[in-house]
Amino acid sequence: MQGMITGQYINGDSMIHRLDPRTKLLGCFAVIIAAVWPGQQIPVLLLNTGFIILIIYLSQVGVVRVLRGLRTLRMLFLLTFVCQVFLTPGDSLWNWGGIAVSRQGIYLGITTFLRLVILYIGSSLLTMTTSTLKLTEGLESLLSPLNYLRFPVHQLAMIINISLRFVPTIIEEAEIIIRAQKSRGARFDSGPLALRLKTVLALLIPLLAVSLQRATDLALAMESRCYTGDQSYIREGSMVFTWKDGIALGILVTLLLVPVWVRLY
Amino acid sequence: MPIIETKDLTHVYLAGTSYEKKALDKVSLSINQGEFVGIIGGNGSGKSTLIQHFNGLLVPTSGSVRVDGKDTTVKQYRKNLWKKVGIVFQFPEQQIFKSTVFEEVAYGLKNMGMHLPEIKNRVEEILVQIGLNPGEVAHRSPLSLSGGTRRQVAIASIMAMRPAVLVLDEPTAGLDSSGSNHIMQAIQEMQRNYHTTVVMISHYVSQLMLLADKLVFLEQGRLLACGNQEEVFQYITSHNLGGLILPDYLRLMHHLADYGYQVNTGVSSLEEAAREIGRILKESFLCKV
Repeated sequence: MQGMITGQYINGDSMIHRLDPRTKLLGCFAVIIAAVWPGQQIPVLLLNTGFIILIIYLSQVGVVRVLRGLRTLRMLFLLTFVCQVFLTPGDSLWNWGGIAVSRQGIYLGITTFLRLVILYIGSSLLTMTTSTLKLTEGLESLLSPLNYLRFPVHQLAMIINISLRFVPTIIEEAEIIIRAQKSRGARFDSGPLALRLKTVLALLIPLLAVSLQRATDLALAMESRCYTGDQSYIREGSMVFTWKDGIALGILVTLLLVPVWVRLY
Repeated sequence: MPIIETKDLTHVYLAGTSYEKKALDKVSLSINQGEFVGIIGGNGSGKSTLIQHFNGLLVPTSGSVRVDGKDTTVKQYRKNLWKKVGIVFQFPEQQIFKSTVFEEVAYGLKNMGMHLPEIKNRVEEILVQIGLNPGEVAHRSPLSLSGGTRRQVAIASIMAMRPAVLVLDEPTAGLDSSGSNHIMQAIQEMQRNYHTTVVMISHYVSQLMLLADKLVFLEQGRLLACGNQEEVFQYITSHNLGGLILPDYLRLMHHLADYGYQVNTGVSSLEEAAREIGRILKESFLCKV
């Protein structure tokens, strides 16, 4: 593989890696809720961002790498910022013939930017420190109450697990196909748009064919090892929720609730 | 002048991350116009990484690659290198995407800017050369063909462009003997007719032995031996490396030579080896008498 995607699992043994996956899932969920909660103030969002960066530092996956990953989203950041700044009505600061910039717009632009940053680095942190296997194991365990409603939790977890597992494989495959088509003169990165769209077909069709073939093979291989879709297999090493997880969740909840408490009183 | 020349070619994947991997380590080699070069080595030895440098799909992390005298780091040159160096990847049948065999084989030719009448001629010619009947397969969907035939079509789509250098990554892996014979014959024919340089990766050393003018042996990204077959096989057996990739009789001959017997290690078939062994037995028997 040529490049590496931010968010890809990085093997490690930091205290964040060792936490129970359920803790990390709940924590990530809480952070996301806090980030999208309406009416968040800039200092609170800054505090949360700082907190996540601190955890990234503790998890030893490389703060710089995660922050560099933000660059891939720069167009999104720019677009939302510009939209918020120009399209929010309020006390105008500047006004050039109909195009107005309002104080509220700038404020909203900055908070939206921070929210997006939190969403991105928060979820990257989760996937960078938790292997897909652990992640789905945690998810399955957290969703297990839904079993009583006859919701196929185990199958859902298996679907998620398999899809995540094959993301790197498919990326690798796509790269090989791109190179093979380039060797026949396909131009993926230059030429007129219509031609480039046509060229994308040269990637998509073989990629889809290979993926379907692989899905069939995998299903057969699973069936021939007696997989039936029931939760009838034994896992290697189950999850243990320790006091460390309690402390981690405690710190997180306190941090997220303090601003609420401060605002109320 | 060599058509491909690498100098201290080093390639590192994912440099600067925890997944960093050095795939090639200071590989220097040169390939002359019209030569048939076989690349051998175990899995993960860097063979596939090496050949992707030949048409500019990869650029060296350090060192240099020159094709036809020009450095591949020049972007403008690299962009059009596919016309000069055709690479057939492993399992090329997986890259087929057009709805008929004709269109699939014509794809590269169209990208070269050729006109339809000429494309038709080329496609027909190459299909015959690779052992298929154009009238029968040209308008069929590639998906309706067998795996082996699909492979033939995919290889034909590169060969149709008549590159000056034809690079193949295990073109016959997993094929039956008739399919692989067709492919090997077509490659040889192309080499003869157009003085094409051929670079081929293969696990079937016996196949390369018959054809290759020069062998290159890679292990863990380093070029350990390069030269004529005997030199390379001698190196491999004397260092006890990649023993499995050599045919058994050849290993036996080299081991006998190591024990001090005067055997010809340049044998190219089992029968010749048997004759050699018979000769030694006779000689040592005569000595005792």
